[in-house]
This record gives sequence, C-alpha cells and structure tokens, in this order.
Amino acid sequence: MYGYAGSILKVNLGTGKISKEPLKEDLVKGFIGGFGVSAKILYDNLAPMTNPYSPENIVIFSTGPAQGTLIPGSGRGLFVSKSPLTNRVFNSNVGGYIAAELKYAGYDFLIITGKASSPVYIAIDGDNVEIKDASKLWGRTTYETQTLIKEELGDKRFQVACIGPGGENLVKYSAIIHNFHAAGRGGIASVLGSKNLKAFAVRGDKSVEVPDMEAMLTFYKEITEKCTKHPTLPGYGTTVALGTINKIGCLGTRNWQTEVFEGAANIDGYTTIPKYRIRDIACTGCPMGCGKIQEISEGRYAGASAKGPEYETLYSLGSLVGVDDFGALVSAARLCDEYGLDTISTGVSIAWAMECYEKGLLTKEETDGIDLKFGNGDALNEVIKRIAYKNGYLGNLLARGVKEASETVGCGSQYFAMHFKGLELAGHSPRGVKAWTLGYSVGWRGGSHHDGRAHDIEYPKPFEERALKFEDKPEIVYKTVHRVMIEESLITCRFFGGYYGSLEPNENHLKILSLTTGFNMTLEELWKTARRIRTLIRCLEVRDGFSRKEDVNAPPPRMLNEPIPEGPSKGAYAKPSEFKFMINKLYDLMGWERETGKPKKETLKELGLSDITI
Amino acid sequence: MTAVTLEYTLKFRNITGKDSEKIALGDNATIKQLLEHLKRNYGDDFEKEFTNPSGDQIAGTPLILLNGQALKLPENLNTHVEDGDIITFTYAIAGG
Repeated sequence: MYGYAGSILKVNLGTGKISKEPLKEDLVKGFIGGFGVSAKILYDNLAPMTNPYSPENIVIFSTGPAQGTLIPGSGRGLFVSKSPLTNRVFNSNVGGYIAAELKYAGYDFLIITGKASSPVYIAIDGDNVEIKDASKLWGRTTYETQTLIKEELGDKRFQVACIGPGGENLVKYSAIIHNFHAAGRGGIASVLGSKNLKAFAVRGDKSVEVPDMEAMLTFYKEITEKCTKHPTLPGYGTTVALGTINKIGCLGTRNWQTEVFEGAANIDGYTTIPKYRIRDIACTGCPMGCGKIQEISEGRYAGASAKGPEYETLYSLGSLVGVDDFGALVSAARLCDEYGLDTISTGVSIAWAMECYEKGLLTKEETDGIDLKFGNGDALNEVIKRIAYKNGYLGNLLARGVKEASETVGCGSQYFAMHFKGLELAGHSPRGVKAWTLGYSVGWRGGSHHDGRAHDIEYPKPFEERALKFEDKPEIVYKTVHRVMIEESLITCRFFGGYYGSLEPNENHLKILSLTTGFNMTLEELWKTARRIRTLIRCLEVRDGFSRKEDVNAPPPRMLNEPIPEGPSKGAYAKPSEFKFMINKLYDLMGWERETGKPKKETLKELGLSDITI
Repeated sequence: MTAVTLEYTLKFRNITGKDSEKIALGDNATIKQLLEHLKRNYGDDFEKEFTNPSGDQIAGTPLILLNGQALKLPENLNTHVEDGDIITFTYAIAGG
C-alpha cells in the first residue's frame, strides 16, 4: 500500500514476545491511520474499565499516511493509551523526527503491552527489535537518557522517545520527551513508567512509497511557498500568541481569577524572541520551523534555556501562576522537559495550590515551607522538582493532578480546580471563547485545546460573536472536531490549518490522502470517516462509564458562575441555559442521544459500526 | 480632534518602523479613514496586509483590535474611533 510502511510492531514487555503483523487495507480504508486506527485497535483489544496502570493497558505509538513523506507539517506522531488523569482513551501528539523514523524502520504502529519485571528500553533497528536493560538509565533525566541510549547503540541517528523521573514516579501528568519535543498531555509517560519502560529508540533506512512523486513535489513547493511567508510562525513560533490573547482579554491569569495579565509584555515572544532566541528547530521536513530555542542571558537565571517556551507554557508557567520573570519561566519549562512533566498540567496544578495558599486552604507547613504566592518564580521552580520526585506533602499532592488534589484538600477548593474531566485546562478561555465551553466539555480528553479546536476561527471574531453568541457554536464545534479527527488520523500539524483548512474536513485533506495513499475518497466519504472515528471514540468513552453526565458536569464551577471580571472580554461566560442548549444541539448533530449522550443505533449503523453494543 | 494611540506588532512594526504612535484624527473619524491615513503615511505595504482574496479571517491573518475588541472587516470599516482609543494592528493567533 502506498503511504504506509505496511506493518504493525507488537512488543509484550511481560512475556518479552516481539511480533509483527501486516497492516490490513480494510482497517486503513475505514480509519485512515493515526488516532483512527489506534482507536479501533483499542476498541478491539482493550477491555472496558481497564486500570491505566495495569499491565493490560495498551500504549500505541502511531503514525499516519503523511509521516515519512514530503507533506508539509507531517513531522508529528501520536501516543494513544488510556490516561491515568482522566481514565479515558487519550491521544498525545508529539513533533520531532521519531514518527517518520518508525515508518523508515518499516512500521506504522508500535503497540506496547504488559509490564517488564525491571527497567527496559526497546531498540528498533529496522527489522531487528530488542528489549534491552535500562537499569542504568532509570532515574536519569530525559535529555541524559536520549544521549546515553544513542551512545549505547553506537549511532546518533537513532530517534529516542523516553520518560524522565516524572514518568518513573507515576506523576499523573508526566510527559514523554523526544528530542526537544513533548507528548505532554494525559500522563501516558506514567503508563510507560508503570510498565518499567524507560524509552524506545528507532532507526530505519526504508522508504515510504507514494503514488505520484511529481504531484507530491508540486504540492510541497506550493505549500512551502505559502507557509514560509506566514506572519508569525516561522519567526516567532507560538510565542506571540500570548500578547494577542491578552489584548483581547482571554489570557488565564492567576488561576483564571482574571483574564488580563499585567506582566504579559515581559514574557510575550514579541519582547523575548529578539533578545533571547538562539536557534530555530523544525520537525521532519517542515519548511516552517516554528520551534524557537531561547536562552536567558542575564540575571539569576542566566544560562537557562528551553524550546519555546510555547504559548501553552507561557500561559501555564507564566500568567496562570502570575510569573512575569521570563528567566524563572524558562528555567521552569526546562525542568519540566528534563523531568518529563506536562507544562500545562504542572502549571495549572501549581496555580491551584497558589490560590489555596493565598486563601489559607494550604498552610506553609503543608507547602513544606514554600511561600507559594502568585508571582513567586523561585517557588515555581522548587515545586516542579518536588512534583517530579513526589517529595513532601506538596509534591505528593500535586503529582496526582488538580482534580484529585482538590478532592483531597476539599474546603471548596474544587470550585477553582481548573480541569475538564480531570485534564488540566489549556490556555484558551472557555469564557472568552464560548465555543470552548462546549469543545472542552464534549471533548474525549476534556481540558485539551485540540479536542474542539474552534479557536483558530473564533479568536479573530468580534467580541459579540466570539464570547456572547452561542447559537452557532454547536455547528462550529461539530465541524472543527471532525477536522481534528482527520488531522489526527492523517497526522498533520495543527499549525498548517491556515493552508489545509481551520474549520472542517475539506478538499485539502482529500488531496493529502490521495497524494500519500492513492485513495480516492469523496468529500462525503471523508466526512463519514471522520464521524466514524469520533463516534468510535465516543463508544470507548461510554464503555468506560462516561456519557452525558460527565459532559454536563465537565466545566470547572468558576467558568459557569463567574463572568470575566475585567478587560476587553469583561462579562463573558456561558450561562447554564446556553451551555445546555449547546450540548443538546451538538448531540443532535453528532447523532447521539440527548438523554444519555450515547451514539444512536442508527448512527452506528450509518457509520458501519453496528457490531458495537454499548 | 480625536487623539488615538496606534500599536504595531510583528510585520506592522517592520512596515511602520515603530512599536506605537499617537496621532490626531478629525472629529467622527472612522476606521476606514484611519486606514487611509496609514496608507498615505506608510504606503501600499500596509494596505496589502489586509488584502485577502478569500475574504476569510483565518489564523495568521491581520487583525485590528479597537480597545482589545476585534473588528470585522469590511463590516466595521465605518466604526467611529473616540478620543483615547487604542488601536492595535496584529495578527490572529496561530498555534498554541
């Protein structure tokens, strides 16, 4: 088959069995690749209600037809598993080079099951696959680990994805790190930690065949011509989003007590990139190169450097914790990368603890002596270390994620625990961007900014349309969520939405599918495929005990009770009646029952999923 | 007269050569008149940033914020600016 390596690699860490299976054509024709195929694999092989930390949980590293080809924005791969934070099926996307390398090694999917009796890593050198001892790597940071594995294997061309102390210590929001990139969300790193798997390394020298290389080259040149002229991404990455989002009054600040940050200019890329950028990095074959490495050149944090920090990290380790000391922020971001922690969940958890501390719900004794006030950059750095190693009361508390931490502390702190469905809230306002109240709530992950993904088209709209109008949001989210299904299954970078489409599945996605696989789907068939994938994921949610109740109860109470208190988006929030209208309408569009949130039987039948019983 | 502050980011900073400036417009001036003023001062490059053949506002497209409120073009071209207003020329966010 064009566009695919044609093989699935399975590694059972419990038995040590390594096996290979052909990738079946009917599977990719029905689910494309990436998240679509992974969801089908999980539906067929993962028992309902499986404990994420049990050996039976499955971790899939998946690619789609775009990986390893010249499609711009194809330098992404996808980890799929059941998340310990949400107890739901979860996909976590990572940039870099490892997804293409897996295809070059001859595999579309790596499926990991079981639990090793001692720390190991998997070495994949084309057809040769070995499970190797990792006892000397256990305890090492992610950057050390990558270097040491390349040295041990004697070839720097190996691409390595690994966990750090965070994943080893089962921090529920630990991140898998590859190169400078993170599969951050959902704590899949801790699932690897529970399996005693420190890393996997991949190298290959095969090719990915496409049906018409000339047509592929023409497409590559056409998109490259456009995307290298993008006004922000090649020069600044995502770092300048912070200033714009703050300008419109939608920037989560001090645990979302407000959405205007007075220190934004100090951490916005518009200020920092000209001063601190030392080099750019790009994922496989990307002509845009949005990754920026910044290094602090003065002050107490001189020498601290990190990739980005990307917008989400500027929010979570900056405005959300009230820190406008860019040096402290860069240092904190680097610690998260080295320890293998998700910067979003880390920042949201610490911001919640800061609000608890300032309100007297956490004492200085409970913070282990740390003066945990908003704006304290030194405290931010210190708490990150304690989380990674679960040191002391505070480290242990916050390592469980903000949902569980707030349930432990109680005293009303759940009101300002900023998560949807257990996943800490990303940096896009559910109050200021009304489509997000719906997108997060009906998302399969919860607080991920990629589930509903409406902000690409909603941010440029006037306040009234973006933050007050609600009647049109279900249709917008219906379209964007299905676009995400296609993007996560072809696996293309979200930052190419300006060229491939920011709203719904469209002719550009069909073209990418055709250029890579030679499949000639109609737009109607593409839409149906997107709906099939989302509905299958919904079935996985339902099978694990989640449906309407969890959607309706998803928003943090602050978001449904407190309008934005100041700034250009003052007064915005989703009223309960609006929220209910949006959920019902979205269910109708999805073909799900209003009463239960389950897919209707006729929907399953229409999408070719009638063998599913839920 | 209407005194307003103009803020320029990214490419707009390159075109104008400044981060911000204060200017005076006539009474009841509109966004359209402001854009004409800027075209006179900074040439076609400024206007070209707002030319989008598809008419869509997508990630990475130019954005005018009036006191933090995004303006929809061309519908809001006749919006009046008032004394003390801050008008920001930037781009819709991409990524994140």
